[in-house]
Amino acid sequence: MITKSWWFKPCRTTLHRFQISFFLAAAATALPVNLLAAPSTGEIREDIRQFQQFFLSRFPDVPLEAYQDGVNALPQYAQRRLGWELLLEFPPYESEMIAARDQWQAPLPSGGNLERCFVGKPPPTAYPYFFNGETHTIAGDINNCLLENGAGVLDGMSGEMARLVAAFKSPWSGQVMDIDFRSEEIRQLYKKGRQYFWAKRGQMNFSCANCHVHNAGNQLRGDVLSAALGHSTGYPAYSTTWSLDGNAMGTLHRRYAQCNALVGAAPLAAQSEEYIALEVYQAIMNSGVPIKVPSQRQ
Amino acid sequence: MIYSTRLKVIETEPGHQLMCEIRHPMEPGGRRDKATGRLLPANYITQVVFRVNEEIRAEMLLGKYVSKNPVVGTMVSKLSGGDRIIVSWQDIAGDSGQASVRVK
Amino acid sequence: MRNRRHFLANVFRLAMTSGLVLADGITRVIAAVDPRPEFSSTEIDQVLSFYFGTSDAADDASIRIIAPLVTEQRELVPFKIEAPGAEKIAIVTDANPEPLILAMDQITDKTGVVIGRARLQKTGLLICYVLRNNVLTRATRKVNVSGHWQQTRA
Repeated sequence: MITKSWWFKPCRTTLHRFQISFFLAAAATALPVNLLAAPSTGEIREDIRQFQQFFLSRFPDVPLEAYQDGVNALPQYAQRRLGWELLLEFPPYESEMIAARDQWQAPLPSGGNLERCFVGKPPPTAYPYFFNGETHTIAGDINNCLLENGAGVLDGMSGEMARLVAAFKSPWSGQVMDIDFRSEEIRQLYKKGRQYFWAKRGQMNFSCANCHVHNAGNQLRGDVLSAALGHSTGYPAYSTTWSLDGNAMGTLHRRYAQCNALVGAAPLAAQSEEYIALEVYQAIMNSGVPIKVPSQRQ
Repeated sequence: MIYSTRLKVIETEPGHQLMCEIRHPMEPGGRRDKATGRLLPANYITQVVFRVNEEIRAEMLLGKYVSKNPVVGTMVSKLSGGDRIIVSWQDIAGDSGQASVRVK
Repeated sequence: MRNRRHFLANVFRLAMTSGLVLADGITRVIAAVDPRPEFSSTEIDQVLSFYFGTSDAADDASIRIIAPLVTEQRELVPFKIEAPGAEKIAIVTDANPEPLILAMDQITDKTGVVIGRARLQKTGLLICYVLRNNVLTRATRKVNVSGHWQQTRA
């Protein structure tokens, strides 16, 4: 006897059975190809359009440029925004930036300095980019430069690295993000980052998107969740919470690690492949949003 | 301990706004060091004085519930070019500091 | 006595007080270190009496307290006061064990602008007392301390 249940519908006809096996066979042959192929530039452009359109229709009063301020731009944050504005009358990151610029121009053991290393490199709004067989991130390039000039590498989570990245980015503050995603490698990273962004993880089973897309602007206990659009344009940022520990400036990867820890997932190392992929994905999604470095975050 | 002090003079209406930032821990006492678990002794700024050409223009008294790395400020009537503004402070541990700016 | 915990807390308080009386010599030494022992006061009225000589104040709508309505960061609540004509200003709060945040004397300029950053341990009122022509007035603004953003080391 064939029993009907709400979750299982047995195959009744040969045709139906044939259809299912045909579909499975087709999926089995198509699957490996789909997993390996990088998304086309057209697909990425369509992703950008959909992603940005989602936020622009969710927060109709917030223009695209305003997303550089992170959560401070959202209407749900309006009652708290005044505190941020008052802080910017005498921005707490200023003394960090004075130290950062000194460090940026300080001579390295070989006689060169970081500023000279970055002459001829693309502007920070074009990072990460692919050139000469490898993917370049700002923190990676800084470490390469330090190595070439006989200095030790820095941890990508450290405040020192955050200050150096901020020193490189700050003159370009206000320029819009513009990533070149024509190369296969960047598109592969984009795909990996997109997967990382939308996949659930951790004890709380949250994906990045759960909070920052589906619930952007909603409250999580006492905090307003920021919108994923514009993430990374303000980093490295000066965070008040981090400043209480004495290490106030933090890189984007430090923030990623903190986010992972908050949802009960094991944080990864700075400059790990997953974080670089996520950085690529977010940078591409932010195409057209101006960067704002240094910035102040809660 | 030497804590850095920075002073900013911003021209606004109806006067000049003076703001100073002191990189000071402002420890209210009774809190514990997260790493060692030891009680941190109280150390906070009690007094900040703004002077224009040696004349006291604002004197502030701070309690222990002012934030770490405090920024305090006030406004004085319009200054003229060449005026020298000095801010000085002292804390309960006996440290003090100052910064000065000349109005352009 | 509402419950056992309150009873124990009271016993503890009593023991502490008697201990302090015994250790009077020690407290005097501690008081000598603090240059302004008057200001370790826990009562708003005491702060006002010390600073203004009076604690009677009427509400005044001309005092402007600029501060966020909600803040996630209890360690850093920026505020700005605008009270033109003020000779003396004191900013106190009921959210902390000791009310005084900041007080300012400005005898010559009287612009009445004070900028500062406060710690607020919980949701409470920022109260601004202003002395103009020997008249003490006040204004209040509630600041909601929200969010328990756990500090995760990463």
